[in-house]
Amino acid sequence: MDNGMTQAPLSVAGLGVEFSDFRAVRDVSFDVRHGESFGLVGESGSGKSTILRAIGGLAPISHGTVRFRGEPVRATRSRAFRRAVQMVFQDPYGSLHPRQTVERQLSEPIRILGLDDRMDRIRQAIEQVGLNASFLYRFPHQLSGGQRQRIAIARALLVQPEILLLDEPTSALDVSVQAEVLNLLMDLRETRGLTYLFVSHDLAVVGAMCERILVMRNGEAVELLTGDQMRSGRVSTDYARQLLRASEGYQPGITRREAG
Amino acid sequence: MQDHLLDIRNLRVTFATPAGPNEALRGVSFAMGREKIGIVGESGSGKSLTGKSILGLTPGRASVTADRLMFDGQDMLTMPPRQLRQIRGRRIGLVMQDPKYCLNPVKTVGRQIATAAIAGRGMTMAAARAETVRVLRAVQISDPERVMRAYPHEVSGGMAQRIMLAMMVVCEPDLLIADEPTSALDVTVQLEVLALLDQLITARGMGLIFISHDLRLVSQFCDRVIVMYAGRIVESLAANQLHNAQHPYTRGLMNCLPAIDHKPGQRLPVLKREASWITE
Repeated sequence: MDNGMTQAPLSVAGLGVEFSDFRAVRDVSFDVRHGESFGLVGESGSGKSTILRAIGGLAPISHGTVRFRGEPVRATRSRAFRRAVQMVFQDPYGSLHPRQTVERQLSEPIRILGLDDRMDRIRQAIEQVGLNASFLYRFPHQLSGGQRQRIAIARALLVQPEILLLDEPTSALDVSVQAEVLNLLMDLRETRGLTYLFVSHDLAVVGAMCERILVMRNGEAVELLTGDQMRSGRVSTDYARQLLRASEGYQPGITRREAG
Repeated sequence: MQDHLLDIRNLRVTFATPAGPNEALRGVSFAMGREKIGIVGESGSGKSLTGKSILGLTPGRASVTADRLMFDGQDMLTMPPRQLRQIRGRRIGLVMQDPKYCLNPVKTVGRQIATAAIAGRGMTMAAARAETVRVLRAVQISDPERVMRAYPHEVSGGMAQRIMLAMMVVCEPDLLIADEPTSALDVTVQLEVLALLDQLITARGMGLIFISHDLRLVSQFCDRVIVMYAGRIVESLAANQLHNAQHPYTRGLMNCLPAIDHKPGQRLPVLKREASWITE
């Protein structure tokens, strides 16, 4: 913890990820600063989720290094890493075990890391995500999509992590529920001083959540933007401009009407 | 009365469950001509079910009733199944959200489109193949010969959705029901597919029912927007009047989307649901 404040808790240098012949990520470098929310945006196949998975140890690091608190991570992540870095997946329908109660799923990380006060931790985690203990004995199919994603977030929070790797945490949810989950993530970050690495295809969502944003395309980093640059449209690459335009929605080509 | 391409009055769909009947659609009424109508709502609001009930594609355990369900002057509810099959695909087309699940994985793209042309328009194989090339060009696929020989897993998501559109268009329907046709696609591809859909609809003078959860997109794309909540239509208005929406649900749906210039860390407005919306 001595150098945790000055040094980037997570830093990626020259990262490459290869699956047999296919290079999913090529030479990507960035630092995630303590307490910031760093966004990775891009379309499908851009490698944004693969970067997240490589950091979490779910995809191979073929080139370059991933440093956690200044130390390169090893193929088998250390106990400290596994406790400090937690991942939330896109699909809350797929990331929870369909035949386990919420209580059982939340017990798992506690058991794996050998922590005590099981029930206290579970109750605390479930209340932090805006649910209550009555949800503990339900199965995933008895929850709505938003409630499931809250459970997935609660599971990540149980071990009191410092960094959350968020892989499209709201793209499977309705827009109204998305707003609730995004607000929850903002609240948690403030109250618990968390650091986020936030992956999304939605520029507006990343803009609302992140201070710095890396635009990805075909496995390569295209442009690093600050949130302000993105919001005011001050981007220098064509691709970033194209993404920005697309996020404004559909405009009939010829008979283009201006709103209002 | 004959003016309407589609005229629906008091459409109700009920599922029998062990806990009692579940009313999924509770009196949906609207009429449309050859225009672009958007149906918006959250998951479970009944928007997809509305589209499916028009085509009689509800599961067998659902009971469907309506005071009127007329398509081009024909009563779809009392129609014998044989006659209904003449309408499905041929006069009313359906495009679903995930093209990869809708295409047959073990048949080539060309064969699937040709089959649709043969079944829908009684073409010969040779004519159907020629027509397939033509519609693939119409959906802006530059090398139709190659794509025809491809299997669905060999094409991208955007391409697969174009193929689905081509398959619908080959039968030259009068009404197209598009259920989240672009939700599974990347943003930039999404716009291309929408532009294409717009162009096909306009060129052929078709009616379109565009089902989506994305209110902003629907309001930009359609002439009229129908907003659904818990199996009912809560508001129906012209797309360019959306900023004058009266119902708190419509307003809530619009507000909870983050805008591109949203300040980081600023909390998003959250939709507060009220029990009265279900009955009012």
